[in-house]
Amino acid sequence: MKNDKTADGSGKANPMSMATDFFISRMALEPLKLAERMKEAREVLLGPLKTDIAKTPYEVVYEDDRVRLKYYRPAEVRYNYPLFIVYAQVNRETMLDLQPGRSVVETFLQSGLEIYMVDWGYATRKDRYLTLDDHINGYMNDMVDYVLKKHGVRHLHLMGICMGGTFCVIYAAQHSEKVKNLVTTVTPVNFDTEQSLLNVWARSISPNELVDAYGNVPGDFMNLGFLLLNPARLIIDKYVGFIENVNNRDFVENFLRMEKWIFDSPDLPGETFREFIEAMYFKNLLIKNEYVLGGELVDLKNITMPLLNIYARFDHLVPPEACDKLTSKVGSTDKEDLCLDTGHIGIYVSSKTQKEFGPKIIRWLRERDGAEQAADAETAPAKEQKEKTQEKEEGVSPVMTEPTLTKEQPVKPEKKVKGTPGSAPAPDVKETVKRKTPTKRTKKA
Amino acid sequence: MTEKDRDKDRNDSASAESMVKASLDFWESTANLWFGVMKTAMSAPDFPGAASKAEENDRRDTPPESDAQSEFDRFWRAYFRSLQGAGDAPAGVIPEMALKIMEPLWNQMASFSKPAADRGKVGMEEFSEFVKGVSRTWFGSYEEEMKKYLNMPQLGLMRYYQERLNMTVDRFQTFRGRLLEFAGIFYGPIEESLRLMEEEMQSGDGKGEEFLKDHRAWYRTWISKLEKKYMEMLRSSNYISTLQETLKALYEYRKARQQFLIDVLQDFPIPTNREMDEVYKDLYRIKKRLKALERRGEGNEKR
Repeated sequence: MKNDKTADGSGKANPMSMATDFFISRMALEPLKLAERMKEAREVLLGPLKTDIAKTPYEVVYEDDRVRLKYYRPAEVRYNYPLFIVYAQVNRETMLDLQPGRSVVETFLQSGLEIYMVDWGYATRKDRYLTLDDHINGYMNDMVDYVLKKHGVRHLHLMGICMGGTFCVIYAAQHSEKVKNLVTTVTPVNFDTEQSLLNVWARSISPNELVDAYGNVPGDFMNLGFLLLNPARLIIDKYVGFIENVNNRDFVENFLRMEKWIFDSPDLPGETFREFIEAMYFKNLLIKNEYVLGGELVDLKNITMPLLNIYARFDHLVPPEACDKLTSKVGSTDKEDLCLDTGHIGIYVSSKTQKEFGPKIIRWLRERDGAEQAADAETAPAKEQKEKTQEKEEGVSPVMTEPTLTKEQPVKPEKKVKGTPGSAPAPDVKETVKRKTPTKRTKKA
Repeated sequence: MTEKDRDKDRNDSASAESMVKASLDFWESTANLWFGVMKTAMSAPDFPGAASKAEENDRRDTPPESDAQSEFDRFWRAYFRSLQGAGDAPAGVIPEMALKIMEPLWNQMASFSKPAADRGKVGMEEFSEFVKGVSRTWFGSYEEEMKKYLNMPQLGLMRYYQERLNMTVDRFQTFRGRLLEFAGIFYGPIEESLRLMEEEMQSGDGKGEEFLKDHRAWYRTWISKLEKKYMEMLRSSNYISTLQETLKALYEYRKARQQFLIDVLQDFPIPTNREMDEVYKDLYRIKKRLKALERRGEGNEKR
C-alpha cells in the first residue's frame, strides 16, 4: 500500500490524517470482529458490575470533627501490639482495601494483626485553618492515645503512607515513646530532588496565593496536577487500554474500582497545604533536622525504634531519592530500606507486590512484636524500667492479662488485653514525654 | 457556497453582532449609571446649587433616586447579557475599541487564509501556528486596547463596586489569555510526536508499511514518543513559567470574582465566604482554647 497522504502538497504525509485512516481501515477490515466486541462490551457495561471498594468490615471507634478511626479486627489476634496506619490526606485510605485479593488490609488481618486506620475524611471550608500541628499533635496523637488506652499498652506499631508517612516520621520523632516499630511506605522526607516533576512544579507554585484564592486546595485541582505528570499515559493510553478491553468484565471492574479510588479526592486543608509546601518542598527542613512543629524541633535522631522504609523504584510522585535518605538520618540501629520494582500505587495494589509488600511487613513486625527493644529501655522512665525488669523476670507484660493467641511466634506466650477502651490504664509516662496529654475526646466508642 | 453554508454564515454573523450589541449596552449603561449616580448626588440638599437641580427634577416629574435605580438595573442586565454573549439584533455602530481589538485578528486570519486558499490546503503546522498567533494577538490587543478602559479611574458612590466589577472582567480576560497560551504549549508534544511519526513512516526502512499493517504498532510507537516529548516539555523552563503565569492568573481571577460576589450577595440573605471564614476562624480558635483548657484540667486532676 502506497503512502500518499500528503498534508500540503509537498509530498509529505500528514500523520494525523494517516492515523485516522489506519484506525478506519483497521475497523473496516474486521467488521465482524468489531461488531462482536461491541456486543460483548454492551453486555458488560449495561450489566451488573462489582465495583465496590473497601469491602472489608470495620468499626469506627473514634471520631473527632471530620476525622475517624477505623478498627479492623482479625479472626484471631496474633500480635501483642496493634498496627496504626496513617494514610495521606491526598486521596483516601480505601486504596489499602481496594478489592478482595488485592487488599493490604486483608493480608494484615489474615496474619492476625489488629489494624487501626485513620480516615481523614473530607475537609470542608471550616477546616481551612487546621495546621500540620493540629493534624499530627492533635488528631493523630489523640487517636494514638485512645488506642494505647484501649489496649492497655505503652506503644504501638506505626505505619505511614506517602504524606501520612511524613506525618508518622514527625510523630515518631516527637512521641518516640509511643511507637514500638515504624514502617514508612513511599514516604517523602527529602524534597530536594529533581527526580519527580511534582518536586519541580511544587517549587514553582505560590501556596499563599493558592490558599488565599481557594481556602482549601481542591482535590480535583491536585488530581489534575497528578494527571499532568504523565499526560500520554494517564490521559490517553489508560483510556485506550480501557476501550481495548471493554468487553472483558474483570478488566472493566478492576479499572472502575481504580477510577473510583483515584478520583475520590478530598480537599486538603489550606493551612496544612501551605505549611507542608513551605517547610518541605521549599525549605526541605525535615531531612535537615531543622523542622519545628508545635514549637518543638523535629529531631530525626529521636527516632530510635526499629524502622522499615519501603519505597518504589518507578514512583513518579515520590521517587526513591525522596525516600532513601531517611534511614541514614534516624537514631535507630535496627533499620532497613526496601526498594520494590513498582510504582507509587502499584506498591499497594499490583498482583506482583501483593506477594512482597504485605508479607514483608508482617514478617518484619512479627520479629519485633515481642520483647522490648534496647532503645526503649534507654529512654523509658524509671517506672517503665521497673516494669520491663519484671517482664523479663516473669515473661509477661504487666498490662497484659489474657493469653496471646500466637501461632507463629516462637517466644513464650504473653498476655494481652482485648477489652474495651479504658479496661487497662496506660502507664503514666508523663515525665518523659514532651506532649503527653491524653484526652477524653472520644465521641464514639 | 451552498444554502446551508450561507445560513451558517448568517447565523455566525448574527451571533457576533449580538455579542457586540450586548457589550455595547454594557458600556453604555455603565456610563449612564455614572451619570445617574451623579445626578442623585447633585440633587442632594447640601450639594452646591442643589435647589435648582431639584426644581429641574420636579419639573420633569422624575424622582432622582429612580434614575440611579433604573440605570443600576439596566447596568446589571447589560452586564449579564454581555457575559452570556446573547442579545437582540444589533443597532448602532461597533465601538472603536472593538474594532481595534478585531482588526489585528482579522489581519491574522487574512495572512493565514490567503496562502492556504492559494494552495487549496492547510498544513497542520501552519494551523497550529495560526492558533497560537490568534491567542497571542487577542491577548496583546486586549492588554493594549481594552484593559485600559477597565482600569479607568472610577468616581463617586458606586466607584468601589464598579472597580470590583471591572477587575473581575479584567482578571477573567487575563486568565483566558493565559489559559490559551498554556493550552498551546500543552499541545506541542502531540504535534511534535506526530511529526516524528511522519518522518519515521517516510524513512524508507519499511516502517510505513509495517504501521499500515498493524495499527497497534503505530499507536505503541506514537504513545512512547508522545510520552518522551511530554517528559521533556514538562520540565522545560518555558512550560514552568507558563504554568506559573496561568496559575497566577487563575488565583487573581478567583479572588476578584470572590470580591465581586461579595458585593452581589450582600443584598441577599446568603453569607459570603469572607463572613463564613471569619466564623470558622473564631470556631477554630475557640476549639483550640477549649482543648488546651481540657488538657490543663486533666493534668490538674492527675496531680
